[in-house]
Amino acid sequence: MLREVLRELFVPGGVLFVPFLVGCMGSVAFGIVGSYVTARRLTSCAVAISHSVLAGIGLAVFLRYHLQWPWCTPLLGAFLAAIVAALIIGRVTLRARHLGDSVTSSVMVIGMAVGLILLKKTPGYFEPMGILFGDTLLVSARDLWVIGCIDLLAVFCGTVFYRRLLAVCFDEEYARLRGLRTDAYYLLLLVMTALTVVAMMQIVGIIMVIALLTLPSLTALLFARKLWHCMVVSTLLCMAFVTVGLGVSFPTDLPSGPVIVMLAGTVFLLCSGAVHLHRTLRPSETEG
Amino acid sequence: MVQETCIHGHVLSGPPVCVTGVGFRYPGGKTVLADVSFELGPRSHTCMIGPNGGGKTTLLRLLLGLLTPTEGTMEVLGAPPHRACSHVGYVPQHTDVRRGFPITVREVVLTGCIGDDPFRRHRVCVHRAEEIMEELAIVDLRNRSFDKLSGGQRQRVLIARALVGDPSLLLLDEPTANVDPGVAHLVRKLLDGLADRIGILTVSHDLEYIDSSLDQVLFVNGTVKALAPSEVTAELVWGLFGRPREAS
Repeated sequence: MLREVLRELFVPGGVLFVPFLVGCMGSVAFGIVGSYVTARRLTSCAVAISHSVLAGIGLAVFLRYHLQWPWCTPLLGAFLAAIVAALIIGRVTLRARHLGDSVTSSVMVIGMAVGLILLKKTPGYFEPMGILFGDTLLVSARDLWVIGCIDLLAVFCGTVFYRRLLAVCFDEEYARLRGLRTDAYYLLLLVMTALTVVAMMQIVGIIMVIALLTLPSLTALLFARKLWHCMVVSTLLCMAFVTVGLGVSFPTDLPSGPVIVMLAGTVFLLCSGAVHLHRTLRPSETEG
Repeated sequence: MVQETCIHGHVLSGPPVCVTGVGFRYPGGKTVLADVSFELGPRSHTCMIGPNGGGKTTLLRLLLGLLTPTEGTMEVLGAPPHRACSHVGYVPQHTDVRRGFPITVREVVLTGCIGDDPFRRHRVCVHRAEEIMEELAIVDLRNRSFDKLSGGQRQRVLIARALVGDPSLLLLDEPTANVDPGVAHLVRKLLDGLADRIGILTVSHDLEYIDSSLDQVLFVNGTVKALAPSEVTAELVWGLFGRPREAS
């Protein structure tokens, strides 16, 4: 059984080979962007962006069916919707912080509602369950190119702007006083989040993609002293969760997305408990 | 209302702070400050004191260029505050800084160099950061997580961050709040030493902060009154300002 799973996962042509590659490549972007999202506490924005992706997918398949636009793919719709949602949320939270939460929630629910209505009005199109909860059968080799490009972008932004993003995420007001365009970096983070979310959406689905974006980073944050440590550890954790999750879901005939997320959540809870216990049993490291 | 960025590359040589007839009110709100005029000399240590809601923080944010006065003129180092902010060191209250963030002491200090000069080499900043950390006796903490430090240690790290850009003016918001008396004394000694080199303006609500080593005391309660430290007594404070104003 194990040998069969390993063959399907790691041997080209295996059922799980492409999802495995997509997952591992996406983990790089997830590790980098997820660390910024959790450190900057942008999780609620990321949740809204990921859910609003459904509007883009719905609109893309609707237009493709009714207007016969073959180039209007769900992936294109997802990217556009995610970027538009990121920019709306970003502009509103920057210009009117007190409206941030309500607008973020509105973008999320309107995005999902529009998406579901448009999918319903597109005859013969695929079930929304695959989009919401992930379906490895939807993953194709073409996705590798898309995710490769997003990886390159995440690595470029994450390393070239590392010190500046670190300063902005740690103390935004001070970074502004040092002359950094903090609003621009905030929007950059949201757009990077949007692109990354779409990259991994097909494996774990819209609903659970946010868990895979944040849980490895939250786990890494328990141990990391530096943000880049957190990025490396969460990338490796994300790769491990995707690989083990795919491997477990195949022989047990369970949906891979929920298995991956359950694994990530369990590891996070166990690590949180262990760290809490360790801190309780040991005297505080803080000195007077 | 809010200045977005700080402009770099200007050589500024005016008096640290020159405020003339400044007033400020938030949109649709009450007037927070009215007819504020004062001046700070170079290499001086001034304390800004006043009741909660009196406008201390608003005045500090005006000096930092984060807010714009609704009337009057305000110059920092001879330039409008938003143009001077790269020459101004700012130390927020350590409790205002994000908790649980994965960043070391050295990285926090180095964020004080960011944006100072895009062409300034990182190595120069690292060298300066080491010097400052040595001076503030936090060099042994440089690889420690900022989150794991005590209040006094955090305060010293934030002062180091403010100093690493070699500012001409240092603004501090309640530097001795939420630290024990020993650390408060240490921070105070440190600031008195720095006052020989740069202008320092400290916000405090603690009357004990006022002593003869200060050059000037600013009482803020809707407006500003400048006094010599020797003129300040608790009775005078109550006589001048009475009950604290309501926050607006």
